[in-house]
Amino acid sequence: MNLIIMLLVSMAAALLQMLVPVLNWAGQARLLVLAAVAVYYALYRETHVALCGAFVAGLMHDVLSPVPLGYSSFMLIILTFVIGRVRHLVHPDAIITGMFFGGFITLAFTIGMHLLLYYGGHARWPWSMVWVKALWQALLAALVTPWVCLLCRRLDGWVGNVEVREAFHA
Amino acid sequence: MFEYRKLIVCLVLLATVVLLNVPHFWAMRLRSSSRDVIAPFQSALTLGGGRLRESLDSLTGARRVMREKNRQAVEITRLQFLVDQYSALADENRELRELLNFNERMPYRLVVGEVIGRGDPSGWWQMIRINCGSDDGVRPNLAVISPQGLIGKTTEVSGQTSDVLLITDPNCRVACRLLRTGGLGVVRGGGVRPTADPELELLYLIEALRMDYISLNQQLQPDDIVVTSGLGGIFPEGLRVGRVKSAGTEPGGLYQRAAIVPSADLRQLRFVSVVVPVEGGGADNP
Repeated sequence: MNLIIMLLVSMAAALLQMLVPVLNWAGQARLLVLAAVAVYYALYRETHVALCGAFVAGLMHDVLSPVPLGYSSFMLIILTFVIGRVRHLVHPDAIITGMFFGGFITLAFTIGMHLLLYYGGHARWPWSMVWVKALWQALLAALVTPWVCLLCRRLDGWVGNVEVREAFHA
Repeated sequence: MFEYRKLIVCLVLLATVVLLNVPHFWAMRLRSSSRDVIAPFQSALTLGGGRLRESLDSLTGARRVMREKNRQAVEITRLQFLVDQYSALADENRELRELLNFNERMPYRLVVGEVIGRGDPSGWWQMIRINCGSDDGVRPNLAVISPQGLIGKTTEVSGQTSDVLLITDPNCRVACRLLRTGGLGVVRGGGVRPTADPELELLYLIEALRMDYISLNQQLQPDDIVVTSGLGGIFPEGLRVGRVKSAGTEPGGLYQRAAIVPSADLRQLRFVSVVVPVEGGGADNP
């Protein structure tokens, strides 16, 4: 059931990500809903489920865009590991936690992706523009991640992947 | 239980390494099938949003619709007049080519597609996704046009969808010609580029098209029309690309460079056409 929900949530997140227009005036910033899904799994679920979530979200991101396969999964898995190391230090239910990690993971994901794309010869943006794009994407992700975490947690509660009481007290 | 979790972690890491090294053919198969699964939902959401917007517009814009209808009637009359003129010219051209024993130009057919997605999900490229693919005869590296002019070229094609790299992306380069002077050059997207004003970078990042490698002998004027030259091998000759906004000498001083305004409004695209060469045509046009 975990995997089915993971796939459905990632697919819905990918659709939403493609539907929300790009902010051309902000360095082609995108609302990275798939990164928010990865944050949910990293903050709330056990490490092996979180890594699967990061892998599936990254795979979905790569197959639907011209990014070479595996780049996003690689980045999201590293960032999930990082969040996993520090999540015991924070209160995961607080909105500010979702906002902080949503912003952080998106910022690091964007910079890391550009490094991979740059050295792979796929996209060469001026670094000033990459920072503009990364900061705007981080801002958008910070606004959206708490809501994505809430929805995913309730969905996992409904289907029995996590304790229902735990999910609804989020 | 602990061993089971460790096994899953190892499998995920292994899968990531495999994914990073997957052969191109299998990567394309995976992309193609995933896009075909997503395409109906993407199409439904995009078209649903479009219909909703149209419904709201129709409630408020009846007068505007009537004005637009009248304008289009005038435009149709004008275009019909041009078609009649071109028919006569085409007949004359065919007769002359027969006299000179030229081969027939390679004929093309247009595959019409509706835009179902704008921008790639990662946001690094300027692309659109349309709802026609290899099932309709579309393949990578074909020109995509709108009634106003060139839009871009197809890149990745699945059974039911195609990704179109817009001409405003820096990775899209088009061999072009100035219609008035005949001067050649290469048009590429400006993309996102720092400008001299650091504050402006935060507000507006997209540059217009740029035409490079124009000979210094060419006397460029504002509003000169730029069309495809057909030399690059992808875009057929004569497709309208844009018009010259301003021109100057390159920093090296060997060529001229011009800023080009695209003919087509790339933000308002809904239906576009892919120019598909018909197999078995003549050979004097790529």
